[in-house]
Amino acid sequence: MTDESRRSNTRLRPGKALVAAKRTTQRKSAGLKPPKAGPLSLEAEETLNAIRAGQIDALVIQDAGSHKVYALRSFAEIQQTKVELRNAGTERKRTNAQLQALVQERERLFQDLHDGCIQSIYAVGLTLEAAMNLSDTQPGRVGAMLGESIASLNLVIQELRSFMTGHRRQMGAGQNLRSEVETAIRAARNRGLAFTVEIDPATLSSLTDEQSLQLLQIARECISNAARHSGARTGRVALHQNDGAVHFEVSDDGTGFVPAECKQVGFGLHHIDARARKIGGNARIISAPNQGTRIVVRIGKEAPPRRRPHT
Amino acid sequence: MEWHDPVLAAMARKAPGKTRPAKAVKYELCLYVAGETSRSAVALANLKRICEEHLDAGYRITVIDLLKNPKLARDHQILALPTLVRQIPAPFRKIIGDLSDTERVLVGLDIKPSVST
Repeated sequence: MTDESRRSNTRLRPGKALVAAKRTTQRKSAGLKPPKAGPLSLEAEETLNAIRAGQIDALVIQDAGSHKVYALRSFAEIQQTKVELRNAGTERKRTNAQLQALVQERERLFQDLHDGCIQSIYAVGLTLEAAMNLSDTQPGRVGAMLGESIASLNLVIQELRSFMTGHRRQMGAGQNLRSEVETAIRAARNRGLAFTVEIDPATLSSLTDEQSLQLLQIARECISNAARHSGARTGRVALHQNDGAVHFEVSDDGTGFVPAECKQVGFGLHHIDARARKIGGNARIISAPNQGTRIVVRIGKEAPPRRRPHT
Repeated sequence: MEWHDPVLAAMARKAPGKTRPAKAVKYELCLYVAGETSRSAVALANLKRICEEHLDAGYRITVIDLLKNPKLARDHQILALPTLVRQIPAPFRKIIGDLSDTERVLVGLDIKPSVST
C-alpha cells in the first residue's frame, strides 16, 4: 500500500475521529479532564488484591446518570463453575460411551440371534418338512430326521440360555468350523440342496476362535438363504489361504439376486458385511439373476478395495 | 448497630442480655455488601470480632446491601463489595475485602491494637 493510499484510507474513516471528538466535547462541557493512563490508585490496587484473594462478591459500576450495581461472580466461583462444567462434560462422555456400548451389545445380540438361533430353528423346520414328505415313502428315515431335529432344538435351547446369562456364543464343545458347517448343510440337504465342503486344515488352524465363529455365522446365513430363497441344487463352502490372506467362500447355483436391492430389505446381508469387518476382513456379495450367488470373505493382508457388488 | 437490611440485621442480632451499655459513638463504621453471601457474612463477623476486641470506645456498625440500595454506593464511591468505610472519625477510610486480615483492618481504620491481643 502506498503512502498516498494509506492517507486516503485514513481520510475514509471519519467515524472513529468523529466519536472521539464528540467524547472530548462532552467531557469538556461536563468539566471533566481527559482520562490519563497512569499507575493504579491505592484503592484500585487494593481492589485487585482483594479480587485475587477471592474476597470480592461484586464490583460496583456506576455512571453519571444511574447508580446501578452490577454483581460479578468471583474468580473462585467462575473456577468452580468451570470445574462443574468439565465434570458434567466428563459425565456426559461417560454416558455416551455407555449408550454406545449398549447399542453395540444390542446389535451383537440381534446379529447372533438372527444368524444363530433363527437359522437353527429354520434348519429344524426344513428337516421336519422333509421328514413329512418322506413319511409315506421312507418311514425308516423319518425317525432319524426327527431325532436330528430334537438334537438341534436342544442346541437352540442351550444357545438361548447362553444369551440369557450374557455369555457370548461359542463353538460347541469339540466342534470346529468344519463340523459346525457340516451340521448346517445337513439341514439344507434335507431340502434337496447338496453342499460340498472344502476346508484347508492349515488355514482352519490358523483362525482365531472369533474368526471361526464369525465365519460360521456367515456360512449359516448363506446356507439358510440358499435353502430358503435360491432354489439351488448344489453349493460349496470353501476355506483356503492365498497370498497370505484367508479366503472364505460360500456359493450356490441358485436363482441369484440383485444385491443392492436385497440389502435394503433383509438384515442378513448387512450382518455378513458387519461380521467380516469385525474380524478384520471384508465381504463381497457377487450375484445376479439366474447366475447363482457367491459370498467371498477375505481376511488379512490388505484386502482389495471394496467394490460395489456387480448386479 | 443500625441495619439497612432486615436479613443481615437478623444475622448479626445479639442475644438478649448481652447488649453493650450505651457509650458515646466514636467509630461510625459502614459495611457495604452485595446481598446475603458467605463473604458478606464473613466480613460482618470479622468486623464484629475486631470491634469487640479492639474498640474499647463506643462504635456503630451500619450494614448496607447495595443490591437493594444501589444509590447508596455513590456516597462513598464504592468500587467492590464487601467494603468497610470508616465514616467517623474523619477522614473516610476504606477497606476492601472480607476483613479476614485483622492487622490490615486495624491499620486501615487507624485503630491501635488493644493490649490483650
